[in-house]
Amino acid sequence: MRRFILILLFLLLLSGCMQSKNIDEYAYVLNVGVERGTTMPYLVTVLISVPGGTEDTKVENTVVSAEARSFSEAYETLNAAYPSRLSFARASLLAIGEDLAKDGAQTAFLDFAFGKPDLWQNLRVVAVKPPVRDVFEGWISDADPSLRKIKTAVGDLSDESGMTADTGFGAYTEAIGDKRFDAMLAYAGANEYRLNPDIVGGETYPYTGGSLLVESTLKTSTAGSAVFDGDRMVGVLDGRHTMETLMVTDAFRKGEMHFTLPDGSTMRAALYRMRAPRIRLKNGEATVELRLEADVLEPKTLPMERNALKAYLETQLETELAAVLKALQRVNCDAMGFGRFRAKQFRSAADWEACDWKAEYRTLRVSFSVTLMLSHGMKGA
Amino acid sequence: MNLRIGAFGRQESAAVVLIAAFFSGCFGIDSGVLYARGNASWIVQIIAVVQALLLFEGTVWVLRVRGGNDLSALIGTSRIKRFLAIPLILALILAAMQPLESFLFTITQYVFTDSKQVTAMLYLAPCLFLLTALGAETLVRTARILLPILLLSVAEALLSGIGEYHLYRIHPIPFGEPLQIFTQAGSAQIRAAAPLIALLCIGEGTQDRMAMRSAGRIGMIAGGLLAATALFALSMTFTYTQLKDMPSPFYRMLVEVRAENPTLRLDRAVLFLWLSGAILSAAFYLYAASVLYAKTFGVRDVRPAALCMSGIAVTLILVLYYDSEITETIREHLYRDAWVLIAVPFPLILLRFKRRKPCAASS
Repeated sequence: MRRFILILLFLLLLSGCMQSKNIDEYAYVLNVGVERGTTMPYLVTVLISVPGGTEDTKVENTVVSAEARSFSEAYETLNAAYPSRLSFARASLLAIGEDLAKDGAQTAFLDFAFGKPDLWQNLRVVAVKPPVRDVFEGWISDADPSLRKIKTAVGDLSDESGMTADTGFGAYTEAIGDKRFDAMLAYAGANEYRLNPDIVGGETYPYTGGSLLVESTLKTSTAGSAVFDGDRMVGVLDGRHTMETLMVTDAFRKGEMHFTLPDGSTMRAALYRMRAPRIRLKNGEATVELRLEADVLEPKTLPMERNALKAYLETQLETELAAVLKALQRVNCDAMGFGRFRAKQFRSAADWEACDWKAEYRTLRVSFSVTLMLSHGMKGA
Repeated sequence: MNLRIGAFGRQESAAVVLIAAFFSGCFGIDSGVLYARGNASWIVQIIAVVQALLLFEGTVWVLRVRGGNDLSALIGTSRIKRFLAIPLILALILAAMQPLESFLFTITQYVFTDSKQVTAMLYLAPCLFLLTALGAETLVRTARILLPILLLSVAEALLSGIGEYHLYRIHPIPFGEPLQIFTQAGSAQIRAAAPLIALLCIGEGTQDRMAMRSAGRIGMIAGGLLAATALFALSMTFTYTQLKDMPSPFYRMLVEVRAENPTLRLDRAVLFLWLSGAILSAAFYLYAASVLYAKTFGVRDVRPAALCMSGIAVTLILVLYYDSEITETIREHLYRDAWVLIAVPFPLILLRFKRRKPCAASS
């Protein structure tokens, strides 16, 4: 009898979710974007997916915007203006407008408690050239109604080519709140807009988001990266310079590069990470040792004697890395993350907090040493 | 006497100590206090485990010398020692509150976001009350059953985060402030020593002092070091600046490491599995506190005391939830200074006070 009463009591605990709602009462926000508003500080744009009821009914994607003073206000306004209840539980991309990021004004907007309103910390964060609406609309395609492939493509583009940075919300907030490194976000823009030039200089095409010369069903492209000084966006790196920065942060896996040879001809090589970079920092000087494998894809025969070509490519990469670092130091952005190694030298948090690392960083002398293992058409493109 | 201790083996006792040591070590922390001046959490945990083991070994040795199977044997009938048992009972109640409070916050903040703490507690409290009142044998045997799946979930949580671990985040390690590390290890005694004190309270059920000693050693070393490992993993996932403002770091770790992971959205299942471990740990402490109270003060039935202790713990958790300056100050002191409740009375209980010789009978 006692067991029976106990079982009855425990049945009360099996009453299911508290305040449950049917799935068709929700519309799911896939992307969240924020840029500067005209009448209020922020213009919040969301890309909403409404699940189809049957097999014949397609998933519908719509873009909705609202101006607001805070995230919670935007959340309430958007909910009031949309027939279904908005759920942010499936949101996986946060787009920060360049106009807002240049002043660091997005930080106050993003200062909401984790979990409310059900936003996941593992959002992928991208910087975009406003208007955000155009960027989101440019991504809508019948081939990928859930936008899943596009988001995966950002990660894949970073892993497979190193042409863009793949940064989650956690890493972004870490970079903002801590001085060990600065944020580097994937950069996206509607193809019709001309974007800011790369801060290093030189040839900016290809691979800067929004300035790709492409004809595509998608009107938005993602490539290159936006770099930050704390919470302020201070510039853009094109694909090649992004790749070189990722080599130092150990986020680079593989990618392709074109090299101009001494005779003016070009050579295409696939680069692969061989081991983690070795970084040493002491007395205001740092050494970075990179070990990569370079597989020459074009031309079919090695254009120079192997050792001479190896030395030439190594020198060219070292020169380019130094130029990227110089450009980053100029805008006070530690995207290569030398602060991570500076923090190791402290034996108390108070001393580290008292250290003006950014001031040290601006005058940091870094020598790059690249070692290439040269192969020829071994791995393929 | 209805103390509901029963009889159980070494495996069961070790299991309950392991679970309690792990949940107290990982979830009984206050991020604001622990990470306020850097991150030495895993070092603090290891030192706290060593201190707790020394305390435990010392107590078992005294028990062997004087004869006895549990803590109440050392308290005996001495009025002073009875008085000294009260802080220990309070320490056990506090130890029970810490992981429960953390889970209550996590549930209401991240899972049932529209629910209040009182509502969520209505679901947790019956389990706690029931487990506490059912006694030691039920507790330790449930722990033995739960242990494999809890260990599996912890291993899964730690392994799935490997891609997000970065060693640079553990720096700066505050080796330059050894005093701070030892102070923190002292403050950690509520969560580190509580499993062993609870085991000492129910020592009678382990049937043998040596079985109790080895169960305590195994459970504490395994659970304590697992907690240290988890804290180390946490330190590689977040920097101390992030952690000090993070109320439920382990849940955040569960969520954040799963972005591109096949185990994405298993976080809530794991959370509720861990919640059962936290309730079990809390019930273990509260039951031990009740037994200590009953044996010390000669109460014949442990159940009213068990229900009363559980009620006190639940009420205090809900009261401390109110967001006010006073509750915030109390909470901070409970996490930082409550070690006094163990450090002061425990050595005195181990001492032997000489009894005054009875006066010679007048002829």
